[in-house]
Amino acid sequence: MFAFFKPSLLMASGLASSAICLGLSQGASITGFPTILLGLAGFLVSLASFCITSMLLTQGLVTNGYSAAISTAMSLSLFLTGASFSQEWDTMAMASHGFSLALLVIAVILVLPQKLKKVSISLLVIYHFLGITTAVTSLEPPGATPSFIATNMWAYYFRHYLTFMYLNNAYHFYSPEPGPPTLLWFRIQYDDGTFRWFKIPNRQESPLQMHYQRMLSVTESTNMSSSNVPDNWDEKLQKRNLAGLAHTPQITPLNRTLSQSYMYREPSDHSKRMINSYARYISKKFAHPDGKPLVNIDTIKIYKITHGIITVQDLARDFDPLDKTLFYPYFLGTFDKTGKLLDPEDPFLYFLLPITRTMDPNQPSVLTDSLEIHAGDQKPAPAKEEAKQ
Amino acid sequence: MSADISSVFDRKNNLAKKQGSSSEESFSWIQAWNDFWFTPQQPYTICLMRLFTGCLIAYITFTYSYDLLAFVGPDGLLDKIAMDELRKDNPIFVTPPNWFDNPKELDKAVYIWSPYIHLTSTNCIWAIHIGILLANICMALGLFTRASTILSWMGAMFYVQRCSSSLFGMDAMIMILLFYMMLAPGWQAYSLDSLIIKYFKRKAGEKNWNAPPEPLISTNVVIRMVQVHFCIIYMAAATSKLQGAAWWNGTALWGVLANYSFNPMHIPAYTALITFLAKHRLLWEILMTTGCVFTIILESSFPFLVWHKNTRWLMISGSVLLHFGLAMLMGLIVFSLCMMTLVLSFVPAETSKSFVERWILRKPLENS
Repeated sequence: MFAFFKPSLLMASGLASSAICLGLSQGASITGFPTILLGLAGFLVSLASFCITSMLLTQGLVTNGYSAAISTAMSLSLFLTGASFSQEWDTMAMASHGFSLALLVIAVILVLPQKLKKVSISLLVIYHFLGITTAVTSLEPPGATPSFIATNMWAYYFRHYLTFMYLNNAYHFYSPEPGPPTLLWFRIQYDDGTFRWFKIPNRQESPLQMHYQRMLSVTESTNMSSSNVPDNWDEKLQKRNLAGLAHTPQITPLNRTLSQSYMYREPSDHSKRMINSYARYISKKFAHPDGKPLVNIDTIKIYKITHGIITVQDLARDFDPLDKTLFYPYFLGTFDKTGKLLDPEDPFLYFLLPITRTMDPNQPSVLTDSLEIHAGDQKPAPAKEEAKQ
Repeated sequence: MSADISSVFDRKNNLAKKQGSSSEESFSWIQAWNDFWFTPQQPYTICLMRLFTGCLIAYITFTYSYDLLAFVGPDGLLDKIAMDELRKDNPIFVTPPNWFDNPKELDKAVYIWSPYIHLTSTNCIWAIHIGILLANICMALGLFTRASTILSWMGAMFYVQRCSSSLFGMDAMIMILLFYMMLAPGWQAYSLDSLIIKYFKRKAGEKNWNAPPEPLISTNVVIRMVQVHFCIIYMAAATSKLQGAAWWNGTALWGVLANYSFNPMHIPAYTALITFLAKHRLLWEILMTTGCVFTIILESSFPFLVWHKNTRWLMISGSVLLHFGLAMLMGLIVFSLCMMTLVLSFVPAETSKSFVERWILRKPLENS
């Protein structure tokens, strides 16, 4: 029944496709899409041959030697495909060479005697799980340095394999304890003076729960803070408070007695790159206000909001989990449409913009929303609202 | 072949009884290792796992369709500039083997790969996406199973390596499942491939066309790898939780239950329920502490107790209960289904077979 799909014939055509693909890419007469298509066809045909052979092997219809030959041929096919990728497609060239090597190892294992076969599989299994264990243990424990042995073993011997195979997770779920979620709010200012807000994640705008959860991860990627304390911390805080007092309306100053990590959260270099990229994405997604194609983006202000988890005592007193005072906004900067941070010396950069409410039971409560004031949405005096019952 | 290691120890005890106590010492751990990894096993559990993994990855790939270009497009959330920075300028530091030198930079590159990193044409991106979705469907159906599983793993890798900022626990779990399914002979049962092979065998007049699939060593190796990996996951999850004060004082669960962004707190009935709990402290304390203790005890004891016949089903049921709770309370339905599929690896092949025959195929019991 496999006469038509004879593995060796399929593999020969796969190899031929890969060789032609390599020839075309070197000759430079036809490059780009046709070459990639040919490489893809070669890969798929070789894969079909390899898979049919593995099925036949489990049924005892082909020998180990035959399977090893097919595996070696596929390894060669992938090597040729990898060599035909241009420099621009470097990751796919690396992947092709990686798979080529893996197939060679499979071919060698196939021709080994039974005992050696078991030994080699055992060694591979040990390598695999040792690698996963280093990924689990090389993460920094809270307030301490990670294990020397684990980090070095991970970095020298396992990192390449684990990253390549996406097995690098540490599985530290909800640890050391479940934390508050992070939200990202973008205030897009157009050059005609109009503006719009875009907030992620947003249950109403996400078509599926999965999309919503992915957006939560997007916001979380901006939440890695730099562990360095700024050298000129006192001066920085003073500048921030003075700028707040000079602002109209005033922005609530920050008390020196509060912890530095609460008042100021400079993102790590990784998170800064993410923020720049999201600014570029937003500038393309909302390039023009609705119905005004000639109006362009002027600036994008980005805020990271830590949405505090309501305490059990507050919920018992019927406080609203969406109360604004549970939001802790941090200013991440003003960006242009190319994702460039416009003013790295902005006095509010990475500082908390507190949202507070007076809690005198005899007076109507007054909400001071420093985020709205800073964004420029709130021009008059702080809004007054009735105390919540 | 049962999924516990008691068989290995039974063998040791039998050997000791037969040959006197001295042979207990001579019992070879190499033999135990051999029995654990290289005993042929029936394929029913692994094939069921392949079917579930196929369905899950098909759904996951499908969900990208709603906002495909935001995730993998050249101008997406992580655009080409950011991707190039991430993969070419991501320094890895190592501590030198002495007490005095500063950490040194080992490498800058990250070994990730995906055509979505390079593609700029929207049509090509959609073509690859549809191709991957087709491979996922074939995997679920068990059509060209080996090839479609390898392609599904590669396809899933294209996404996770490209849109690293939008991943969460579920992506790690589905990649683990796909990796092991790729190594397993998942076509042997519950697949169109097995039906096609039977059809051709019958047509060729083979007498044993309907013979049950052969037990294979490769099936056992893969099942064991999934089991060991799952135990590492639980052990890492449990030990890392023990670093947090909230898991010790029994309040950690509140951080999960009252997290507005993760939970269905926008549904009034849910908020009413947790408000009711908050207003009854004793009930709240009992539930929160029970939840924390259950999670920690289950995750830390599972890697040890699941191997013993007497406690295996307790552990499996506890794990299913934990992930059912996570699915209901946090909406992590697909993540929980992935975890349940991983836990399925501890179900003996005979049990999987009889479950499918009794409850899905509605076959009468053999001895009735």
